[in-house]
Amino acid sequence: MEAEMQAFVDSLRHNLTAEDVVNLEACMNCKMCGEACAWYLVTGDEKLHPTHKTGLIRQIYRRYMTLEGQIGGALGLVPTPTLADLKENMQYFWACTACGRCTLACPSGISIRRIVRLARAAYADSGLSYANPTIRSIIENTDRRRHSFGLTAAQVLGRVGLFLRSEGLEAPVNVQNAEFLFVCPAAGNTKIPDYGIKLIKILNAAGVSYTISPYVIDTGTEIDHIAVHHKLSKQMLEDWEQEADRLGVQKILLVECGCDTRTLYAEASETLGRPFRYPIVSVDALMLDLIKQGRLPIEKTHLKVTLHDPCYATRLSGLGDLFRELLNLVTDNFIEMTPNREYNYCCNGGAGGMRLPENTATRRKISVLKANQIRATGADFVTSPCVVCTLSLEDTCQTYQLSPSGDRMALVLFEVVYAAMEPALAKLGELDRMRVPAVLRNRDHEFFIAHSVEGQMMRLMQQPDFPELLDWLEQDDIVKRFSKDHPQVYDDIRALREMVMNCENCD
Amino acid sequence: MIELLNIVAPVAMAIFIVGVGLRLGRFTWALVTKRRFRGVSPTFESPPPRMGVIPALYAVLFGPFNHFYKRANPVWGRGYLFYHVAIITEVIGYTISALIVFAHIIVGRPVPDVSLHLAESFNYSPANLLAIIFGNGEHLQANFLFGEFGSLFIGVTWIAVGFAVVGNLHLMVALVRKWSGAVVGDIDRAAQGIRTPGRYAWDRIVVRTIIFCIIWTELFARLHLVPGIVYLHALLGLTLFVLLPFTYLFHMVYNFLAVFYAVRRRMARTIA
Repeated sequence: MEAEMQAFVDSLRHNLTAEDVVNLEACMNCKMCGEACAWYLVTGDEKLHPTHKTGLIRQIYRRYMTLEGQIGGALGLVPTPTLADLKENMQYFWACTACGRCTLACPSGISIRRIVRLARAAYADSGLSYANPTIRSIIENTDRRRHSFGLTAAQVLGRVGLFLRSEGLEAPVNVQNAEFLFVCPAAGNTKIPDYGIKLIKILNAAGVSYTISPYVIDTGTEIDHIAVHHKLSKQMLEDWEQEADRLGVQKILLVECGCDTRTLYAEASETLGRPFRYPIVSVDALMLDLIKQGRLPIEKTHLKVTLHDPCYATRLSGLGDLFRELLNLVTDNFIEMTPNREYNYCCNGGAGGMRLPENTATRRKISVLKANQIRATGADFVTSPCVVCTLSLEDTCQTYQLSPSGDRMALVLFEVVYAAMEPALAKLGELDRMRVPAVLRNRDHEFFIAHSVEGQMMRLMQQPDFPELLDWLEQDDIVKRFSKDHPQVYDDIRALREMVMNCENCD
Repeated sequence: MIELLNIVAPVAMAIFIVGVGLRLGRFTWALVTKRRFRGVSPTFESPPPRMGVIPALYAVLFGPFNHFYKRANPVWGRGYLFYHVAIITEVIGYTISALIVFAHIIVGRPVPDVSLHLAESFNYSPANLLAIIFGNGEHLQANFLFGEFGSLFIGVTWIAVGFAVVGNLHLMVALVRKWSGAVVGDIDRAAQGIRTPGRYAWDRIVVRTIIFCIIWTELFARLHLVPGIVYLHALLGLTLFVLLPFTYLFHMVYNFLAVFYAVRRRMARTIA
């Protein structure tokens, strides 16, 4: 057996639980799971059928991990999957979002998702998934930079700092003994940091005691769900815990990311081999409490909005009721899409669906189901408590021209909360509440500079590579998007550049 | 037929036991050696409420039919439902019958002789025992097995046979028309017009045909249309026993475990 094949089998053997044995053994190959899989339903491609993926793993299991398979294989009576089979079929394990919908159509309730995760982990452990440039980059970036998109802390904080500066806002960094540690998943701080500042405004307005870490800039979502690299995933979770230890926070704030929700709800226990050490609070549960306690004033919006349940947060973590309760508090025009909750169709973006560019054409094609769902509601907006879902939904809305004006139609759920909060604050004359976080209020200048994003920016300016950071910001697509509503952002970059040059001249 | 059964039965049962032992042994081994911390994080604040065991069981067992098969593949779906009501009832009946027969043998009490229509005999041959167990819907055997509840048992199993006939006909039609695993109707509004092809699997054809024959031999035996057909019924049953560990039929054993885990996941709101 080739070394990679051996490593693949060893990985399966190592990660297989008793429940997985049942998932592999109990499947009767009835193919009914295909009725739930958007990837198969729309394309009709047998290779995208859930059983095509599980079939290969089942063959490997039977051939190399069972007595009769080893005897039968030696006699040529049992098919022997080869390394070439693994390589040929690798793409299909990522042409799947591991959304778990197929389990709902399985007469035995088998978790096909777990088999897909086992396979992805085996591809990672055998080194075979490195052949895919995106997966390779996720693994290498996580390993070297602890950020799956490869951004540095300077880039993440620099960009957020630029946006906050443009809006005259602040966020707390590196504050000891705050209640919450707020770590944003890589997809959030890479793809939607401009939308994300609305969440900072919400936390500031409600007086939440939170802090951002200057070191931990990713939650490990992609390494856990796309690459399924258990070793690195464990390291990311441990980094998170150690940073919480260092900062002396009480709790972890779980932001609106479906994969993070699932990781912290269930997967982390298995990855760490023990429970995650810190209390985990979903930001949606927090916002709900803040509204109920009157700490977050709201005025119901009239936005005609429908909710997309993220597979990982609703189907796989059971938070559907929470999202609805929150949505019903902040809008008076919420329309359910059909099917919904755990039966909702996947947005097809998560766990690699959107991240792998080779999936784009297929993903857009199969998103016709999601487009049909949204269109049927007649809603003006679709919201989801998940970064990647929102990005994928926006892509679907644009692809199928659901928004007649071509304007943005997909909102992260906290944006809907923000839309309800801002007018309420304006009515109270308390818009300033959004500007400064609770932990930075009534502090001296020294503390403020040491623990604010602005202070971080000042420290970055003293770094020799700050001009490169400014170059990167000038070229950045997110900054470009942000500049549509904030044209002064490029002036801010220029001003920063001049300040640095002046400092150099002073030296 | 009787002589053949006497020869085949021990061999078939040995193959069955070894096969089941091998396949269930892997699960047991994993259960013992792969113990690790798993499950919902106890530190997750405000978790969703746990689902009760009954709603979770209902969701696992009937969710697929209610949300998918009923619309996407109604013929297969109805067949699946009817047939499984029947087969579960029948298997429970056979299991109870087997336990009663072996209890009688252990304490050395007489059993009926099916071929001679004797209520009491010491014919412990495999063929006779199989005829008692698989022929438990006939009066001689039912009265021996269940005493005064024999008629009730026959009544219940008659309903099961009815379900089996209807269910199996549906499944046969689905299989022959290549609707197995197909989408032949609108699943929902979003997926309107989507159709996917089914398949024509040899293992399904063979097993389904055997089951088809089992159901009809049962029917003929109950109606006393063909003398001694209960032995053919038992032989076909044995054939399934032999095939069970090596075909998709093994889901009959593993499904209990699969459903157990699926229900546990449902209760924890993790589903998959």
